[in-house]
Amino acid sequence: MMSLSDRIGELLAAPPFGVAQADKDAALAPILDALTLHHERACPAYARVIDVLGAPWIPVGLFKTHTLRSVPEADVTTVLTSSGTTGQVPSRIFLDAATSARQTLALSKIMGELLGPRRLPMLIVDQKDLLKDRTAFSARGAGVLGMMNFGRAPAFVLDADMRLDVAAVEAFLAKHGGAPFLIFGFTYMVWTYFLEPLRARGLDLSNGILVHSGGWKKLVDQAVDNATFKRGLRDATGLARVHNFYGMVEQVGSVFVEGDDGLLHAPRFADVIVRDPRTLDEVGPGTPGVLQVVSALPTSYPGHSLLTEDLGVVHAIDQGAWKGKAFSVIGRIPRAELRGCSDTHAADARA
Amino acid sequence: MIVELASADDAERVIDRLRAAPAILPFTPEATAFVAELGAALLADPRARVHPELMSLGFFVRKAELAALARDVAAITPRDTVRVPQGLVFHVPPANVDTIFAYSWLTALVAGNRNVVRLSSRASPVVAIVVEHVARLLAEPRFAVIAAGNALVRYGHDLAITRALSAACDLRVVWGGDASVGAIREAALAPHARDLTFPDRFSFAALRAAAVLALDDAALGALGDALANDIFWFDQAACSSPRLIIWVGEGSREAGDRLFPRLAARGAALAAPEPAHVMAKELYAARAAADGAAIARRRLGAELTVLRADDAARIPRDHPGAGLVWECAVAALQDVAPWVIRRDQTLVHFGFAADELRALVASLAGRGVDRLVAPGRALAFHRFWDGHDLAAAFTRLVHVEAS
Repeated sequence: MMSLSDRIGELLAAPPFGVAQADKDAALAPILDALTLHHERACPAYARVIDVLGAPWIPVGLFKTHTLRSVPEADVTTVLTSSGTTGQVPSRIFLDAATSARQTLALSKIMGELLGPRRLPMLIVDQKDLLKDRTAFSARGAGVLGMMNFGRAPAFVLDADMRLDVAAVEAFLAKHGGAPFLIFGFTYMVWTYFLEPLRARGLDLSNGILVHSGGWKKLVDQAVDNATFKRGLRDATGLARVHNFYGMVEQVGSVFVEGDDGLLHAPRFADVIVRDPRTLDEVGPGTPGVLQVVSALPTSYPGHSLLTEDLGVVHAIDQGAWKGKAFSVIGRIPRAELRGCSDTHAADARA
Repeated sequence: MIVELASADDAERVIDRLRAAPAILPFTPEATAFVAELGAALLADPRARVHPELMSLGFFVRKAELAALARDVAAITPRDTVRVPQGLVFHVPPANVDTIFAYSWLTALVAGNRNVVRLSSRASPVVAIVVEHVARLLAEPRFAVIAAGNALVRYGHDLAITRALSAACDLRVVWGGDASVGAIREAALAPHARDLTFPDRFSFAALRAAAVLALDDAALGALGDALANDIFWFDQAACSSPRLIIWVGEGSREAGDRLFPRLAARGAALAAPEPAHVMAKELYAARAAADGAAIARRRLGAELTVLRADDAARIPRDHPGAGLVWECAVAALQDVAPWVIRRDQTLVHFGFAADELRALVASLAGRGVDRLVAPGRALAFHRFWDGHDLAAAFTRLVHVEAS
């Protein structure tokens, strides 16, 4: 009989996209069940939670308050922490060598689909000194560093004040602009600090492939959605290949990337399930709900099935070349209005 | 009607106006009449049907209630004293329990005080309705004295204004969480003045399982409805909202099986939790389970989550609100005592004799629990609150030693 690791490895070795939903479920479900068993045995806190909640998934916020580890402490090679919003407690995710290697492999399989087999020259829409302090990476730094595995000749194009170094962009294009190249950045920064100053400069980015992530919240506030974002880039720079992706520090590696249909797709070793935000029952395509994300990757921490705090909707299943679920993320679950006695004018008094 | 304060100078002007108002004694006819007529107006307002908290407020200040209060206060006023107001009272109510400001203010007002009440900047239909009636009544010449001595104010983030009002008042009444109380204390009071604070509290219910099991369906329905009102109002975030049900005696599991579906059904009628509430309860339940505090969960729809603890001492007093109840079983009511702390405020009881309740209070000896009430009464405001007699707290006694 194959070990759990071997079975996950098998899943990872296959092409990440193009598998029909039923086939995907048939391959993924037994591995997820095995992961649940594994984490139940290896992580007592996880075992208590799923015993009480009666479901194998856990709310993603649990990683902020609890140490959830399924390997001996000595085997932990990396502790990932989320940035979260200012003032929030970060998640702590414990990786061992095996989980870490799977994450890297998973990401490279997915990026290979977008970027091809070779490492492309890489333009990074971030600050030049982002990675200077190697001891204290922000989540942004970790994200950039992770993506740098898939490019070469990296060029950072923002200065410390988030101003675009146009000369650096022009120098990069002079050298690499004639063939496919990679652009990476966080969605909001690409729009605000890259596209805005590039408008009307007539630079040609038509050979670029933009991969971006980080959420739409700030852009939605400015009424910029994915279509606006893509149109803006295409009109100003000729950049037409744009792939958003959705992922989280609690499931690094199993990211959901935007296909040619403009929608997000789960790779073979991961999936998304939409749940009614009140009953938590699964809902079908077309109905928005809370996103649950599952991933075959993590064995060192019980993160294979997580209830996120994001809302999304599945638009179609098994349509297009990538098959599986095509979905979009609507945004965070709106905050509930604060009620009760505990909220007076504290903030005012402090001001 | 509401005075918008833009600066400490604006606050000083309000203070000057209040200080110039004629002094009145507790239960001065104008004050009593104003409060009673405001209550009657609220009870008669058709909008109160949509906002039952206006009805509760209206009942609290009915003419008969005020007369009874006047008699009670007279009864606790020794013959060699004269009861007088505290003076100028600065009320800082919570931003999100809309009617607290009125309870605090009107009780201080009938006690003869001048008042400055800070209203939340948040728009609230309930507050707007109260203020509308207040404005109409205070415009009448017969209430000129009341109008002169009371101000409803609003201001933004401005510690200078809070400082001015705090320095001027004789009593500052702060309703809100521990953080709010701490923050407001950055503004100093005059040497003689003091704070009356109502910080974060925890409330719970103790139900005798056998008494619940003995109920017929109609009586069980009534109990469920009453407890649901206690639990679900204000998203279960009021200080007095019960967050734990302690089952006393044999039969706790069966009693829960009977009661919780009824609670959930009534809860669904009272308040539909928002997705954020549902998720907050899921996360809270997961954390409680990870900690080993919760050993089982019943999820009765989105409205009600019940977490079972085998040891009350492990139950955390932080809480997500919006329909989450802990349950725990003990053999006898007295078993609650070791677990109670000062933060515990309201005990909703069912199935106990008055002697048993008094014995519990005696054994607690002030370590916690300020009020014990029947189901359905948890949120009912009362002159006795958090261990204070508000009628007494809003007044002073002048000792008159006759020769």
